[in-house]
Amino acid sequence: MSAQRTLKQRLAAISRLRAKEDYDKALVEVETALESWPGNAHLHVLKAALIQLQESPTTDLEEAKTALQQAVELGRESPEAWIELGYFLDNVKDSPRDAADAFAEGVSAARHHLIEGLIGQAKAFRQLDRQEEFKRCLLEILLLTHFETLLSGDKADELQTDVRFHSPFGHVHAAMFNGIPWIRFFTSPNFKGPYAEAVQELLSELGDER
Amino acid sequence: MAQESDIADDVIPGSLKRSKSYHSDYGRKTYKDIKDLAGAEPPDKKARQMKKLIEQAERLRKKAKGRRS
Repeated sequence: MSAQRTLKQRLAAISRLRAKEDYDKALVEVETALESWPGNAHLHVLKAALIQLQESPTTDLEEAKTALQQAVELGRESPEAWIELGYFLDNVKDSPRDAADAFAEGVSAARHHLIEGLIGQAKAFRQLDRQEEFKRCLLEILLLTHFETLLSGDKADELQTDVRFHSPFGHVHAAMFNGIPWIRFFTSPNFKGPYAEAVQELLSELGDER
Repeated sequence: MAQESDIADDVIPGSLKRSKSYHSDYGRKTYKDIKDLAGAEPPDKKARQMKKLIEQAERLRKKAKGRRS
């Protein structure tokens, strides 16, 4: 059996145990898998999550942080490890400053992946003459690259630009004035979807700007 | 997300109870009580930390169940 097929089967077994909330057994499976695939960043991320979810811990909580740091080292271009490290640092260590740095790395990596994926998808739609989907990809690329430009480089604070769009939460007008972001909703936000509560909480902290 | 009536100790796994952010004197409070205390002015630091632990546990459980996040 090929190593790749074996890994796939192991991951499927781990996934079933996690879904059944059998985190202890899942952790044993992950640790066994890591003996064969120590360079697999995703396995380190899984290990960190399972350590945190154990009801009767068999592993020190600090090992979760070590696992996430190893995952980051193994996959510096991968958003998953950075984002999980960010959540761990904020939620478990109560260290938002360190968490913000980790999230910045993860978000930047994710944005690059997304832009690259959308460019490929747009090209495919173009070849298939699927104009509407092609334009949708293009619009998303433009929005993402717009924010990428705003956030990167040392000229960010010189830019004065704005963008208006419709989000699942309402019509938004977001702008940067001398490097300071400003966000306003034109319509009352209509909260729905899996991130509704989290977004609502964030928006409530916008205060008078809304 | 955690239900507002959930008791903190019921939703925070044993492992996360070893975190310095865990406060056993808040363990019998509901998620709603903790959210209210965390959002008060000035915010209650213990409640804010407990809220984060509850949300971390819920987030990881949802991911384990297969939700994309």
